Amino acid sequence: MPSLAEAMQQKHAFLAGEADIIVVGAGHAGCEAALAAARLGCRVILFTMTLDSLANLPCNPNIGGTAKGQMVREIDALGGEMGRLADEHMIQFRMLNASKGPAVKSPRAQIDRTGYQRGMKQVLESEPNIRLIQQEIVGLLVDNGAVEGVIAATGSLYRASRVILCPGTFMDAEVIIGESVCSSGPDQLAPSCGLGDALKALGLPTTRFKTGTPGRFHFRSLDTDVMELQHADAVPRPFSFDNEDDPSWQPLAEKPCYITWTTPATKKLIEDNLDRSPLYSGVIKGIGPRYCPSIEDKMVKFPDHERHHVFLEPTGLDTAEMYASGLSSSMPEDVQAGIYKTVPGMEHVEVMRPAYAIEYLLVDPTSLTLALETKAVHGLYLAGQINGSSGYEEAAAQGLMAGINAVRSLRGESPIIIDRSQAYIGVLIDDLVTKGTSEPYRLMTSRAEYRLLLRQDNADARLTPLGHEIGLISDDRWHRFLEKQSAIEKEKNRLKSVRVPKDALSDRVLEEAGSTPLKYSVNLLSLMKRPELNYDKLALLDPDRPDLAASVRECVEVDIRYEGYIRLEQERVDRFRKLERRLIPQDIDYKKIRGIRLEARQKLDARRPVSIGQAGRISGVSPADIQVLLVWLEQHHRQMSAT
Amino acid sequence: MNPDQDTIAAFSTPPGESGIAVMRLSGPDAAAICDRLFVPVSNTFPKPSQMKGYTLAPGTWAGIDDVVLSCFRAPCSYTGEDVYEISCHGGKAIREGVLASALSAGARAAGPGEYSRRAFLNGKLDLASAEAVMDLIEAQAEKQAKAAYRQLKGDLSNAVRIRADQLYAILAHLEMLLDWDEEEERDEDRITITSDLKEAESALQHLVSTFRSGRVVREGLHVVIAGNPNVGKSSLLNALSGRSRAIVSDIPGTTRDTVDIDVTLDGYLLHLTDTAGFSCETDDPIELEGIIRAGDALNEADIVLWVLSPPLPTHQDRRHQEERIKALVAQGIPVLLILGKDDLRPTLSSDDDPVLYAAERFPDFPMLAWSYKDPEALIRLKEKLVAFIEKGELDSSPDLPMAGAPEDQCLDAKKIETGAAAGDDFLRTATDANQTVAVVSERRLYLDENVGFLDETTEKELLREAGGTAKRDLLQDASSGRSTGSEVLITHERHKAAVDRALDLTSQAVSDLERGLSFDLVAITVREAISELSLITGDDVSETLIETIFSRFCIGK
Repeated sequence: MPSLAEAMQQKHAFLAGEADIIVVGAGHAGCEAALAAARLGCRVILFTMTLDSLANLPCNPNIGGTAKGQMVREIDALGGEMGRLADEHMIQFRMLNASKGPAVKSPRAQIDRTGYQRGMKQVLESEPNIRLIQQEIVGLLVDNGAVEGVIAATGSLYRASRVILCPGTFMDAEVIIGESVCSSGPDQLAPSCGLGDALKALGLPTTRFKTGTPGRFHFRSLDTDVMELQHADAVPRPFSFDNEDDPSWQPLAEKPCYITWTTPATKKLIEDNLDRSPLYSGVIKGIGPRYCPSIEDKMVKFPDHERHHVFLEPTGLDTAEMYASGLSSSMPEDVQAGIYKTVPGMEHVEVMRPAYAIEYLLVDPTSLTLALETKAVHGLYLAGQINGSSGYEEAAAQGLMAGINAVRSLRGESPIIIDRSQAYIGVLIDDLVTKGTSEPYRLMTSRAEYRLLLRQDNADARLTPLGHEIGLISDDRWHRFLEKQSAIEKEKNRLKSVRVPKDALSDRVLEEAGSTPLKYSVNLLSLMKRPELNYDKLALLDPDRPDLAASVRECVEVDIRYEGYIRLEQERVDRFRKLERRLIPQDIDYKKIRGIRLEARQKLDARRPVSIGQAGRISGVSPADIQVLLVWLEQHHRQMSAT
Repeated sequence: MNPDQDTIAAFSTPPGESGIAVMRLSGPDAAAICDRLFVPVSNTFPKPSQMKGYTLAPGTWAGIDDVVLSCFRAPCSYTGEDVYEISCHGGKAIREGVLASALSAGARAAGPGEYSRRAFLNGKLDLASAEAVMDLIEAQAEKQAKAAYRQLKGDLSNAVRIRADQLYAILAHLEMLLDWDEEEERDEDRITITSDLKEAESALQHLVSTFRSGRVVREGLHVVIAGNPNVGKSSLLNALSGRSRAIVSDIPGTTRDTVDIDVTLDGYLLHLTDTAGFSCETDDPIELEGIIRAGDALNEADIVLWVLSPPLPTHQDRRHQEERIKALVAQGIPVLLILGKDDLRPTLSSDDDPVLYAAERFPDFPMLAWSYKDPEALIRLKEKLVAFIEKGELDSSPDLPMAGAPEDQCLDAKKIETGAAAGDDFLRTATDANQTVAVVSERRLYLDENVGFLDETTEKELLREAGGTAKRDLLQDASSGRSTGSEVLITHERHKAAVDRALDLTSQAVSDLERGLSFDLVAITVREAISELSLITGDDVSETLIETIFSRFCIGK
């Protein structure tokens, strides 16, 4: 890699721009990174290969879902952009898992894709600290292990001491449809060539993953009469805490989804043509995600399943394109056409975009610090799919954190590391950086140990104080936050003080709610803890109840009804944090520590965990290795204090 | 992971029978745990939490034993933490009871080298000791790895694996519903998960109930032979041991005290105890003392061979006998009825026929027809005992071949007494004097002059040489962490405690489901149950769970 000084020696060298922070790639990661850095007062250059497709949603046309929805709320609570924009361009809202408990209640919205893209472009353009430039970046300027800037495909040079790379699935990308393999990014956009080689030259470990997307179909060609309708929730909810309890907020529209199923004929057709599947013929070598298998994968791995769901989802307000969730495939076009004919309601589909698989280059995320900075090159940050994740929300969360931490590093401040007990963002980054991933990583609620604490309703309580401290939360938002928290406390105290007598009224109300009559008078708070009761069902016994915002009621209800479980979870978190706080000096030489097994020694040496807690999560590091490490640390500590 | 804030417990004295054993409790909750379990003998002694450093107090430990409590206050103790030492009696049941009570009161079983590690971390060992501590941990880790490997191959750990997998499947189902299912909760999901969890619950219950056998493999099976006087208990002992240890005579009450013999059977160690016969008709003080001791032995038994032989006792003795047997069963001690002197059956009146008596009074009991003259009966008995060790429960089908073995297959008593029993694979051990080790109880009141004492050295040598004991040594080595070998017990207790907690959590999940609690909360409890079992299986719970979800369910739209 040339340094800036070396590059400037070249004939016609042109230093085209300078900034505090350069962000390469304007997908969900890049946009959040650039916005966070700019809002924290840094001058930012944001590069995109085409200004017409930034913040694209090239796969499913929705934002949120299980774990992801909670994370969008977290991004918003920290001062990120995704939630606000999703609220503006929402065309269907559903709260998933409403009946399965507060820990897993997950907001999800269908999004008007082109509207979202236009909206993001406007936000970026109106941010005074951001220069938005259409340029392909093909190289990095590095001097003495520290990044100095980037090199554009045109040869122009740009200087910045912090560079955040967010190339998504574009690096050395190949799109595969059956026998056809071509060098291309998603949506027929040009791939990024050159950047991958630059990263390899810097010694960063790379690999290739595969993902895919189903076809898009003209709405008029679907026979929706034979499909099941899936409507939006009656009460839509915004992602952003800015829009919470705002009666004027409404989704843009309410467009339904349609559900149909594959048939035995689908299965037979796929089985008959498996030899033409690039997944099984060996054309595709990258590892695909297990949670998002192609339809041929489902048929092979679950041969006993009679049928599989197909969801037809709207992709926008002003388009007839429908996304066929569940029919992701890399089969040749003629086989794809045959597959659609076997699905009820899709017999006569007009294909507008065929399904495809895409293979792309990424960097092994275990080569990063928890701040998302590469360990090899100072000032170089990676965020999004380049780190092995998948999904818009996962990308946005990493972009936000990389943006924040690049700024803090520039200012000599310590990085913000969100741990696994604070937020899904912490689970995501810790999983990637500490454990690595062998497939495109999707966040799931089951990956979180402290799921009951990481709820969508309390994302602000968990993160807004941090967002305020970082500087991404406006004073206005901060005051509203404080008011909401005090309203929650006040109501909990009030419920504790209101006593319900044992009388005819309470007997009747409780009986109607399917509960048992009181034996003696109790306060409302303890009555609410009965599994069959809730805040609303007790309204008649609580005549002086104040008129509270829905968001406050929700938090009060969860806090009270799940208090015992939340307390236990909090105890587990306290134990977890003790180990997270046992820090390991970064100059530790694992080779000198006797008693750590070879495998663990190699892993520890390569990953350089910051704490005992993180060390323990590395696969191949056993509890006995950790004990040796603890003893060594104490020994080291005593030697240090003795001298 | 090893949170150093836990309070840990372990015996510091070696396992095995000894007069006194000492358990150490170390950590911030040691005083509180002792407060819960220890009652000073009188109010002149303080509550444990009010004891000063280096003080002693006699008292009772959780109703299990009379003990002496010693208190060492932080930092003036071995580990630098509050340490309480409980000196109790050294019997197996007492040691287990003391440790189990401490674990249930909030302590955790100490890991290998953990006391030394804490001592170091708290500045009680000097820097030079650190390396030694690390060596110790390293050696422990290696041993543990070996032990874990061996245990994984063992029946017991396979059983844990099966239960863990069962719970993983349930949790994967729950997680699939939570993470991937578009629909709201369906009744059938709750019904299916509840019934799957109940299955897992009863499987865990079964595992807990068979845990006895895990310890049996390591420490040997305590077999107590009991019955009324002169039913042939001593002959049974002699047949099982292959030598004449107990005095055999036709005079009732010949065995006045318990007689203990260790033998190996198919590679397993058996502690055989012959007891004085229970009789109400004696007023001989020595015989009465023998009867009391027989009662003590029964309480420590892993299995009781209760011998019923003709002529059947008086009605009063029968009633006492029935009460005793039922009391044993109520205590959870398995009883195998040995219907003795089977060769005499053809000559008996129906009133004296033990088979008819047993069928009437103990219809559901496992039983075996027995005659010391029938080598087949010995084979069947040994098979039953081995099956009991390996499966942890008695095959309850009665084993009652036609009475009276043909004369030509009978061995004479003398042959058995000399240990030259023929036609018996199981008697590999018995045919070689070296392979049968007899230890005579110090509590024995009368000695057969033919029986010599073996000193301890000889006993150890014999044990080492004995090929049949290889399995026991291997297991003891594998499960023994410290040089004192005290982990033989702890490993067992730790595993038992983990399975107990997993069972409790599973039961809680079942009742939570039945109370209508939401799936997210139920999932937390099931996950905790799995985490407990992972202490034995060594799984990375998150990874295994995610693998299970993906392998069982077709995920993704």
